[in-house]
Amino acid sequence: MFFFSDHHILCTVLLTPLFGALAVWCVPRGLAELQRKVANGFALLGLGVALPLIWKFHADAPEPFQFVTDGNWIPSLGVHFRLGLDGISLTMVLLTALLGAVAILSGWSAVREREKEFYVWMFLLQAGLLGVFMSLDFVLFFVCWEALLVPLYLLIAGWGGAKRGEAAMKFLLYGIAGSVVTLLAILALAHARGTFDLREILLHPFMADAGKLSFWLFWGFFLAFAVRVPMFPFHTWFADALAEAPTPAAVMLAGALLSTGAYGFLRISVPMLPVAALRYQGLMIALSLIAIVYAGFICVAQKDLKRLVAYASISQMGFCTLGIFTLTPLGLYGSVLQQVSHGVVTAALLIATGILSERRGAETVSDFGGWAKLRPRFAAIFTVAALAAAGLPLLSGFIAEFTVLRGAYDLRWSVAAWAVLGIILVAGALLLMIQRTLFGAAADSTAENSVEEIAASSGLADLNLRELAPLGALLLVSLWVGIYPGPLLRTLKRPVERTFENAFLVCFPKARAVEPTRGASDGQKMDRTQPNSVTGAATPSANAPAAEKAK
Amino acid sequence: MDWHSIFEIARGDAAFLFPEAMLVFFGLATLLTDFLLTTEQKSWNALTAMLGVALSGASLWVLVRPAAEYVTAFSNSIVVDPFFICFGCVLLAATAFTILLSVRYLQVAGRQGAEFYALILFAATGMLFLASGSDLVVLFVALEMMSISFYILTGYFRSERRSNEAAVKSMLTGAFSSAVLAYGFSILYGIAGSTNLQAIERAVLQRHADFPGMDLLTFLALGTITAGVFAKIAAVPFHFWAPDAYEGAPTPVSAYISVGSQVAGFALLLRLYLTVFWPVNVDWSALMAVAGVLSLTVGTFAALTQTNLKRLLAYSSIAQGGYILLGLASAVNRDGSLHERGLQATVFYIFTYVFFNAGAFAVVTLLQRRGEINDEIDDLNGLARRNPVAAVLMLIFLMSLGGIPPTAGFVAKLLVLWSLVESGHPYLALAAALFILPSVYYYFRIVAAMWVREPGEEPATPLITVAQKFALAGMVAVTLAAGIFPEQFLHFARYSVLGPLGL
Amino acid sequence: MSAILHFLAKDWWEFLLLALAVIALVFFQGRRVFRLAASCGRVLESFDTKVIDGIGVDGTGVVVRGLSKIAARVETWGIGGPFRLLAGIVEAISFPMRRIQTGFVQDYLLCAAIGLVAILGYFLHLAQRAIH
Repeated sequence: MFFFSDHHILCTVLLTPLFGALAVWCVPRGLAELQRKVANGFALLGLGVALPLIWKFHADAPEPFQFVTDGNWIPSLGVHFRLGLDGISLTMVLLTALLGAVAILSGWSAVREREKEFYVWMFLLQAGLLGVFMSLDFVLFFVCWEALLVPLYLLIAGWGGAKRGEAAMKFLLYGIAGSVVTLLAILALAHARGTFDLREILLHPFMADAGKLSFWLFWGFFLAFAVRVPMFPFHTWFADALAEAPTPAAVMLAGALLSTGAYGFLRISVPMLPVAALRYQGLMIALSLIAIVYAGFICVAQKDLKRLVAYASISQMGFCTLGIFTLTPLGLYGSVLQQVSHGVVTAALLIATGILSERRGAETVSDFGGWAKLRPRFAAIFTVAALAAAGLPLLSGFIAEFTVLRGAYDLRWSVAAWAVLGIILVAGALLLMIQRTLFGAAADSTAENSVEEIAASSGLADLNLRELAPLGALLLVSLWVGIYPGPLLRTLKRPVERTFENAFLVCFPKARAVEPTRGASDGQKMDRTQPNSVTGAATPSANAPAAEKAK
Repeated sequence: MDWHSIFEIARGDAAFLFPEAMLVFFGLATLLTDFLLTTEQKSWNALTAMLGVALSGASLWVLVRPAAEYVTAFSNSIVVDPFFICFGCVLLAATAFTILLSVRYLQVAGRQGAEFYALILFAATGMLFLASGSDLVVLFVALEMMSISFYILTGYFRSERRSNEAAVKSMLTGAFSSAVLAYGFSILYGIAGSTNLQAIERAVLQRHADFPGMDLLTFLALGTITAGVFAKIAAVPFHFWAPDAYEGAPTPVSAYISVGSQVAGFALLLRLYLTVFWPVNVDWSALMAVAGVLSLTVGTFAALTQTNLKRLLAYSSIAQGGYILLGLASAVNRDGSLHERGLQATVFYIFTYVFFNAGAFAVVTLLQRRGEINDEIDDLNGLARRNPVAAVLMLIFLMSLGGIPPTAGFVAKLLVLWSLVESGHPYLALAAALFILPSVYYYFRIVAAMWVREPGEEPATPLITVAQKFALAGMVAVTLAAGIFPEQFLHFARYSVLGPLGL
Repeated sequence: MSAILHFLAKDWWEFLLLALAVIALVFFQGRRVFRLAASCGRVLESFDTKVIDGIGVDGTGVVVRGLSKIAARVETWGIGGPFRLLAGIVEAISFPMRRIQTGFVQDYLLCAAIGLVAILGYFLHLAQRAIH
């Protein structure tokens, strides 16, 4: 089929949310119910068109990027409209598509004013996020990276809580502050290499011969990525933004937007600037550990539900950066697993807290209590989500954190030990939250009233199917990753190896000569007819050096 | 009889004057036909004026082919080249937008006069001559024609104190800058013994050969002319008239001055620097860089705390002028050679700036009601609820001003930053990039007013008339098109500067 | 810590022997062992409630809660502090920028004249440098 052929599927996936925005925009004002239906239809469609990627993607394919779409966008500047996926970005795209559908579904009852604009901004946000994960051109990457700030700003500013103005402005300014420096870094990189093509630079990363430039570039990119992740001193915007954002926007913010930061480190900082990444490895690990432990402590002290989830998620994203900067394959695997796990689980937690506050009209932990008795389905879901976030085995949080810790342990056991402290703190905070909201005396009922009476009189019903379905889907994904991460790891294998190779080459530049013959087809690596450019794990490919010699 | 054949009849030099002649003719016609109209029909004057702009644009279109061959007319005193065609197009677009926005504005204010439209056309005539003039006298008269029209338009609401004050202030500072400019022109005349730019170019080249690098007279002319033009483009420290004038003038006129004066000023600057002063090979890019950074600093920091929209946009256009000046600074490489992308970036910035800056003013125009101008930020409160379309339009223009993709402003800033990096000015690039952050803050203060705050007692929906719809549609179309598909616009910018100036 | 791990990893068969001995003891002298264990258990229980729970767990809880409160403070004032300072500096710069816009034309012209002199000075400086 035309729309799902290898060259068009990414465009289809990227354009579906945009068409969704257009479709919702075309529905006349006042027909809120129709707008909602159209939006939900397109949200599910957006997930549906992304699903064929799963079976069309070849985890063992020789070329680094599949489904490459290449159009000349601004020829006089050498800017291309270039999309493509490798294992990491495929995972992220699927996560974004899933969260996009779930987020819009969760907005069914949460958003009760100006639905039309709300859904338009949600779709634009989703398109921007997908664009970040798909683009193989620096300018396109930056355009998506920065453009998505505005829809999210408007979602927070227009539909947020009481302090939405300040929170939204803070979010925007942090985002722009990171972006402007990154724009300069991109331009300097293009100036040095004469191309905006990500693939070119992934093939020939900035090695020791690039001198100081690679360090400048590293810091330029670091600022944007660190703000997004968010890493330790740049995280203050996140709790505010998450606490004020309406539930669907919060889901996209915590689930997908944070992953763009970690994705940036995985895609640009580490594989393209391995010298700098190795040099600042210690600092980055220290910042990650501080984020893990420090956010864990704050988590314990939080009374506001959404802020609690926010700090838990800062702590968990700390594991992502920790995994990336261990610069070991296990750490890299764990980092991506953690992104998936964090995205799915945090989304579930946020939807659940959204339902809590929507029904109860309050956001402080002490306002709740005894919900388990009255709303067993909700209680079950909420507990499982919290346990997944706390890292219970069989759920995704455990396998992800364990893999990262394993990578960190290889590096140094004390790193892993400090990270464990963070897990304990976050787990404690989440369990306390569960205990106080679900169990104990019911804050909203007298004990004599029957469950049905309360449910009928106050409208504080248990979950209905529409609420249950997205939450169930998210937790099923979490369960699947927790029990059987094999397919996911297979998908990630090649990009992780490639990333590791680049870092590995810095440590052992002589290692290039070890395997002289196996990957001589450099430059045509994108070509499917050249299957012999396969290189094994941790055995540095001969592609980069050969090309450098050719220069 | 079709347009081409009319053009063929007016053979000879007069044909090359058609764009300006149309404007003058219809400006005068507006004044005359005004007597035939009753009070209710006064808005038809706008129609006459629009006709003039349309016909002027059509004659520009006809001149595209001859312009490729760099034609001069009236004993070399005007030049018809791609530079003129492109700047003329953009200036005419700005004029058309202003007229379309003015209709309702004047109607609500209760002063629908023919002289308003006539003055707008006369100002446009001056601007076109600034882009096409190749003679000091033509250039000076054109500059005065534009400036004097602007002074009168600024003070158009006679009974209003703010309007009057603004007119007097801009006239006094304008007179100062014109005097300085005239002084520079007189020195050039003294050097060459001719007012013709080509003769002056030859003379300057000769003097440069005689006294390499230390020709005081040329330097004096260069300095005074630069100062005079800087005042027109509101570069720091010659910018003080701008905020007062923009605030006091009728809002469509503020839009017109902010884009027209700057674009015409830059046209003059480019014409003089790239032809007459190019052989001097003096390091003027440092001057542009300093003025650019100063403009950025003053414009950005002064805008941060403004509460009046027009004043805020005035400071923002000073800052935008700073970016254009930095683009001009990047048009010269470290070794003194021309950096083409820098020039392209400058012109692209100037051209797209017209659309999104005028757009921001246009949305402010919508807020006006009988007896109130409504130009405070608070007047935008809750606009996203009252009129989502206007709010989204304002958002797009502000994104473009702040350099957020996918808008023209992003591509313009990207080009300027890139050419700064490529021409060897990384620190200037860093400064220019860092100033984006505070500028986004003050632009998004406006957005926050529209989305975060409650409407209060503002009327339910500000009306948008058909004329305003046309104007807004044009502006937003260019802002988005140049942001998403900039290729054609880049070609346009390149075509305008790199052919005609012999580069 | 690592010593224990080492022990578990390397000397597991000794561990196994020990475990078998304990099981044998329990099997043959069950009652006595149980009594001993019960009295040990009572001592340990009081240790558990008084020391481990009292100081260890509750104490840790107090410490953690205290630390987290401190961290929350730092979060609002320490981390946000530099950024607030930055905002303050920006405001401080912004104020004089507005002040120089006095509204008097003579001041504007003075500034313009200074600017003109500066530009001319720059060019004269260039010329002078070329002469020398």
